[in-house]
Amino acid sequence: MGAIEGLSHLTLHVTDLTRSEDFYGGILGLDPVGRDLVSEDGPNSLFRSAAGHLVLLVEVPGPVEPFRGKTTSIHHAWYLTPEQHAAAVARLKAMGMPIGDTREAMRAMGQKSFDVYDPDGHRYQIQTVGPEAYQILKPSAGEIDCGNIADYEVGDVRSFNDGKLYLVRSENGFAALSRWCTHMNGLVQWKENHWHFYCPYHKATFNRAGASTSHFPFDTLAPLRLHPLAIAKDGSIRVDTDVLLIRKKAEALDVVPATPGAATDTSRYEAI
Amino acid sequence: MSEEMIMTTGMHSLNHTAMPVHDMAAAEAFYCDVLGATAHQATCFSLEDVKTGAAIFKSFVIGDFLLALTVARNSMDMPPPDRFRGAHGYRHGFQVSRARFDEIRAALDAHRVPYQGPVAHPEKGPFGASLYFKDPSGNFLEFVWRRDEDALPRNRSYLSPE
Repeated sequence: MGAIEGLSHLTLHVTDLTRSEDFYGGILGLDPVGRDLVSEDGPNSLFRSAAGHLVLLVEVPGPVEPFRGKTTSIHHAWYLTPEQHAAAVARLKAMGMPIGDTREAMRAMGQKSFDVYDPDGHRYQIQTVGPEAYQILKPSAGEIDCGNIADYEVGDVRSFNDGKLYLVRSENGFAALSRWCTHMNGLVQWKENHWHFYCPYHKATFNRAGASTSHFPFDTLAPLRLHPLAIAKDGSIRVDTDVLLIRKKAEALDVVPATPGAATDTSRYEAI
Repeated sequence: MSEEMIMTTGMHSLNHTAMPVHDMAAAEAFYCDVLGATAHQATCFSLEDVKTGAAIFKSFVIGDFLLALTVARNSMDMPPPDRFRGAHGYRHGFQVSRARFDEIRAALDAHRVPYQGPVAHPEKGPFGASLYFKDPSGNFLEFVWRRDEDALPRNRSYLSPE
């Protein structure tokens, strides 16, 4: 159809208009537009967000049905600037409202979200994303001792938490992959049973070379970034977490041969 | 949008709604073919859900808004066929320009989507007139033209928090 400009408004049934006006104006912080400006069956009240989206509250005899049948996952999400989000957190905390994030471990760096419920049980996510979500992060943990080449078998993937990295032993050698997803700064996890790295934030996946194996729209993501590694004469492996190597695609030369004296050729990459 | 409004409001924008449908294929046909939405990420949450065809998530962008649909095949009653202006607690109203309002109505007719309206709104308010209809799963929807449309941004695009 292509004629839709965007969302105009979300109509919500409520059982006590005044009580809900207090919530949407005083707690959510929307701007009141006015009462009974819309042709509805009951008393109604309009509120506006910064971007112009409207919320239309319509009082009904009740009860209202925030969730259809047994479907409890229905929710509406608000997007806030980081400043608005900080103000909302302070405002709701001062009111004694719980603002915990049950999925905090799945968020990317800088992404914040909590749920609130209006007086009739309508569920809202209050979300923001700060600039740190897109910054390239370095662990800056210095050089990390990752053991000896003799300690690894082909196929091993080991996590080093201080360095936010995975060391991958493939047939051709070693690669130190940064765990920060190249979409946003979620931390990828190695899923041994699926043979891939997985970002719990947006479900992007990467193979053991760090190349994206995601479906649209993450199929074009850049590969996971590398840390340079060096193998000493005694076979010990050291990874430099102070340097990140950016690559446009995963290549065979990204892997350092499992031989004493081998090291990452950093000249092949943009180094940060 | 005035700077004063941006400074005083506590929320930037409505971003998305997660809501259920009975049949994802029917929903995709409706939202993409009739409303002009674009389909985005799809996910099955677990192997058991994949086997049963349940808990599939698929997102659709309509202008500046995203609908994240999940399959809830047998857990929602349908509203009465002749009820168009309801709300299962909520109803989404999408803005069309006044100039294209008749075009939207013709599109609903062409796709045999039953609707109620146009219903005129008070002149003192921002809404001009609305058409009320439902998606194939009985979720209530609305098209509205706005008297204040000249003050609203054109060609709005979805602002992802992701």
